[in-house]
Amino acid sequence: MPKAVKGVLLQCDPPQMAMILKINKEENNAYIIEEISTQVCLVKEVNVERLKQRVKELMDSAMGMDGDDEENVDSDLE
Amino acid sequence: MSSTASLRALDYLEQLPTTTFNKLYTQPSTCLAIFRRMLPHLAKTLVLSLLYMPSPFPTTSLDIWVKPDADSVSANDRALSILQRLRILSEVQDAGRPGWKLSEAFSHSLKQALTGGGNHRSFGVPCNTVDATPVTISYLDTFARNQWEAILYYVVGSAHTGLGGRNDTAAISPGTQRLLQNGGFVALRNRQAHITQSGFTFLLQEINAQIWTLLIVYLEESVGLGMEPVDVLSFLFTLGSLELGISYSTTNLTPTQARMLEDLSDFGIIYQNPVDTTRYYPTRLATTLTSDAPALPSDSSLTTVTTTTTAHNSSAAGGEKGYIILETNYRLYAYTSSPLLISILSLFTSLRSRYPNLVTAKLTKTSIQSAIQLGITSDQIISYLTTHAHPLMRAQSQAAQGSNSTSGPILPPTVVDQIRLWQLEGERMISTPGFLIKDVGSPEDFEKAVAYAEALGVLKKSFGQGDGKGRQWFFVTRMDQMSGYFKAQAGRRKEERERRERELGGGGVKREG
Repeated sequence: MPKAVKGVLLQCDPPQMAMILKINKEENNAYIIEEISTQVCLVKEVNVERLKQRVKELMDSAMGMDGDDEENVDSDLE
Repeated sequence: MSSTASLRALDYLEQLPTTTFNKLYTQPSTCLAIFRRMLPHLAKTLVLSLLYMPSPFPTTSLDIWVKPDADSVSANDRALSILQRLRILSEVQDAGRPGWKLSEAFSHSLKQALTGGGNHRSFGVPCNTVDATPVTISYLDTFARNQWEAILYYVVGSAHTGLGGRNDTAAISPGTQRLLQNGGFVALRNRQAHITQSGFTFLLQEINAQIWTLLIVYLEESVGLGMEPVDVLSFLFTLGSLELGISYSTTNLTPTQARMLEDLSDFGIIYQNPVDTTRYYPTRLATTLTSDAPALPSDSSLTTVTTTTTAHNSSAAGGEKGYIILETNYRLYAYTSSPLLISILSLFTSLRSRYPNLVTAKLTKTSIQSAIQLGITSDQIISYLTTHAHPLMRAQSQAAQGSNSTSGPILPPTVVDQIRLWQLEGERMISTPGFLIKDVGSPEDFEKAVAYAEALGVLKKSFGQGDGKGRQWFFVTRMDQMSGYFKAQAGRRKEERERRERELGGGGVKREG
């Protein structure tokens, strides 16, 4: 008999999937229901927004968003 | 169709019922406005040639008028379809032959509008008494501009931050605020208005299109407020035929139209002296409703007539000429002093410094991504920057292309690409709520189920083939019909099994015997 699992299908690229897996591991499987491939996974519906937020934070810190602020100091008149 | 504005009005009109059209067409001003503004040239010609025909015009005769090449035939079809959608023209049977006939009400009113006469008063009744405090055209222009910019300023959402101490701004009324919210141009967050994606699209339009967009929202709202939509529409079309600088009497207006006066003066479409409410002045926003003339006079003409107004009144019109210079290093220089334009820029740039006639800003990843979070797309930002690019940038792009007639990109391509990339970066994850279905059974069952889901249009993705793990999963967005399908499948399989068992039981005996 077929089985249906309710959730949210998350499609992303492999680097982001790695981040998702890392976050999932750190928070004791709070998000992922099923890993499907390196680009797709099934996620608990209630936690999707939090997961997205966490991935964004992780990505921003990894990519060094603070470099942008440094540039803000310089003046247009120079 | 001359502009997006009339397209929007046309879209709205089309979905009205025929009875509404018949009521609308009793007003000569409405007929004239629709005739002048909404019809393509060929349709106008058709209407005029059918106008004084006593009997329906046979379709075969009309076909003779049209050159039998593809272009002419399709133009003719388009004209006929618009006329039919506006219930101006209908196909009738005349003595057994199909023919075209103009709507009775429309042709009657259009004749009246063209030749005059009648006691319909639909072109407005000028006041025959002298206004104690006469109003000049330049005052009306300033009033209209202030009101309209207050609305745009509210949409931009920075009305409360007090950019540049704009104290003379006309505060927009709660009714207009509600209208903008219901129209989806702004969304309230923490009781503060924030611009939405459609709000940004609204800002990008030219003024005439903006007015029609807002008026159509107003029309849709007015039904809920117990206002007669026919009255509202015909009053709007009447306004389009009024003359600037003349006061009109309010005495012949219907109750609905009298209620509209207040709202319309909030939009800056008409002006009413608070003391003397028996008369109203249409502003340029009103008189250009059904024409192609610019709704607000250009900057140069304004500064000559309104020398008394303060510097930052020369704003939106100045923007139409283009004021933005964007460099390849993401620096942006905007030659404007208008708080409205500056706050539009502040939506997607990080502002640096402000001079009397110049603002400098920079496009950063943070600024673009915060705009994207508001729902503004990268394409909208790019098209805003393109349409408001400084003439120098256009000249440069043409010079770069040399004698080549195709003009090069106006904005630096690196910056345009980067804006798109910044948007994509935020969209690396796509999430779809739904159901993952597993354990469907044999590969054939799986394929059948996937095909069924695809036919229903609920299939998102199937993970059957090629992953080497023999998994047969697929993902659907809706489950109700799929579960019905599986139940039916299970039922059929059960029946089949029982039948086979029965047959097997019987057959086995036979074969053995």
